[in-house]
Amino acid sequence: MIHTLTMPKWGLSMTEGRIDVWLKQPGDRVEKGEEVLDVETDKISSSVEAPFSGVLRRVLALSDETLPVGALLGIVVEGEATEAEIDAVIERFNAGFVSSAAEAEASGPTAQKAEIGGRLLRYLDLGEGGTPLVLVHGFGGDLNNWLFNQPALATERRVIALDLPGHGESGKHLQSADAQELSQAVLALLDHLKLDRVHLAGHSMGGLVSLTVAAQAPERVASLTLIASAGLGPDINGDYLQGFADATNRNALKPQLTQLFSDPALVTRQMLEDMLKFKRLEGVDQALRQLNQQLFEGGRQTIDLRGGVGRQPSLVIWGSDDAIIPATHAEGLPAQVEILPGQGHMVQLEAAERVNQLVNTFLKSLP
Amino acid sequence: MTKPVSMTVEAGLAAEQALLAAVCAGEQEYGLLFWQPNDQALVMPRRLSRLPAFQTASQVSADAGWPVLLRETGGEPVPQSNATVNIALVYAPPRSEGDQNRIETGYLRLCQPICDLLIELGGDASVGEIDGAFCDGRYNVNLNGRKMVGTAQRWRQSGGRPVGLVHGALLLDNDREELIAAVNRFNEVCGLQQRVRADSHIALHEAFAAPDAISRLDTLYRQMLASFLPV
Repeated sequence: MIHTLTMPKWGLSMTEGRIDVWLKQPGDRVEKGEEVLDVETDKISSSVEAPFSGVLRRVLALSDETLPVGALLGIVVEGEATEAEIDAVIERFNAGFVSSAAEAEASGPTAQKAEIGGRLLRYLDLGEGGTPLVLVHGFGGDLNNWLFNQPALATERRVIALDLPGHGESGKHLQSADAQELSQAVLALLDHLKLDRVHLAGHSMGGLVSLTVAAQAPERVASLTLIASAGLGPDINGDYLQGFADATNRNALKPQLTQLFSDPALVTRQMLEDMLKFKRLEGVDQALRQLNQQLFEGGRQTIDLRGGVGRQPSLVIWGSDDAIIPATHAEGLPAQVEILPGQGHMVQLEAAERVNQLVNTFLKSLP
Repeated sequence: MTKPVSMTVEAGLAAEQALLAAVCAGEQEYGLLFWQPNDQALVMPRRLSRLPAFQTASQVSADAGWPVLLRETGGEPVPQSNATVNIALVYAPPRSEGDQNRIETGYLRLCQPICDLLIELGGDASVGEIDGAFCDGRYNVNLNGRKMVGTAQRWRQSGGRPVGLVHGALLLDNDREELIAAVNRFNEVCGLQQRVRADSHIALHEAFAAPDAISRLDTLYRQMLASFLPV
């Protein structure tokens, strides 16, 4: 029996490993579970164990060689096998092997980062055709806030989600930390991607940013979709904003994040860990505090852009039980208004299917 | 009050490996060791010993009072002296956790208690890369925007279950200039590109007196371990 020994994957972020040292040499007997070689990846060193017993017949990767996850490292033979049989297995393996990086590329684009308008911006570009839709997340969020929306919306058109400055994996440094600075970043991304005119969809603070883009460059905005949007009235849950900015551990953060959802069970341990990890990145704390001070000083919304709604075709979606920005802000707007009963602030995640349907139908109805 | 064990750098590295072996052998459920060098050395991963100028660079470093030692974790050269305290955390993750987040979770378990301590002291704690720091990485623990703790991991298999040694080197006292000089001297002779800067680092005692810091960390780590291990 001929067994292949391959580069393991020890963590989500691991894409490749560097061979440090072989602990066994060709011709050595190895027992199942025994350490065969050491592999390093940035600051992790780990042994690779034999998943089966046999004789190490071939070593196919040399010390200091860097190989992708899943690549062939060696051959262990249980029982008998000729050199020709081993050669055939290696040939077959290499012919069929696609590194996970190449696989990801083949299965669709991953988020990209580019120096845009003097700062690093991360964006995810899916789908093609039609007038593109740009998705703008809210305060403390990132492009993953559209995880359940972007792929579904991208079946109809090109859809781009970005990390706003100070968020996600975009540059953290803010200057004025106002709606103008954030909207300039969105416009800079449109310039970078050579997009003259787009549909904008913004959630919460992202709605305020979208409204600001529409005010600054109305000719570039084909329509507005505002989801639980800021900028449409004075009320906002200031305690949440302050609590979120101040939270430095799970116990402090959990009660804040549960206010975002109608179902508190959606706030998982993983979500808390990810959010804390983000909040500890250099510059994040300062960026969030700056934005909070500029946009929501004293627990009130300081910018009112209600007058901007309706200049472009507009869709407004809100959860009736939103505990961050009240759904009453949707009243009287010159727009298609959809209030989703029982839903909270993260309505695009909790009621993704309904939101996707509303957005798709709205965009298709436009000339 | 918990005090770090005083030992030579060589003995400290050996003690960490012994701890890893003991948990692998099932002799203990987990390991937690704080140790502080009573000599000094430049410690680096084994792979650097294969560089053509390694022997020369090691000799130059030793002549300057910084003998070179090899360690079992990855990364870059790290200076160890009485100014540093080492934290070695050894454990086998519960099988229920699966493998996909093992590395990230390991770093989180090492970094979280240190961040909690810094926040308790009134500091600005963060985790991330710092330009100009030695052995820089995504999981440095930083105080006020400067690197205070470097981190690395070593994993071994034990009867089909992974056992990890997660290591932190915490800069306790301000010996930054000397530590930086030791790294840059070695890198230059060895032909390594990286040059590091003193102002990218900070020592805990530069910001806080914190006489009970190690005791507090000991408590925080034991609480954290108790939350997922049968301790």
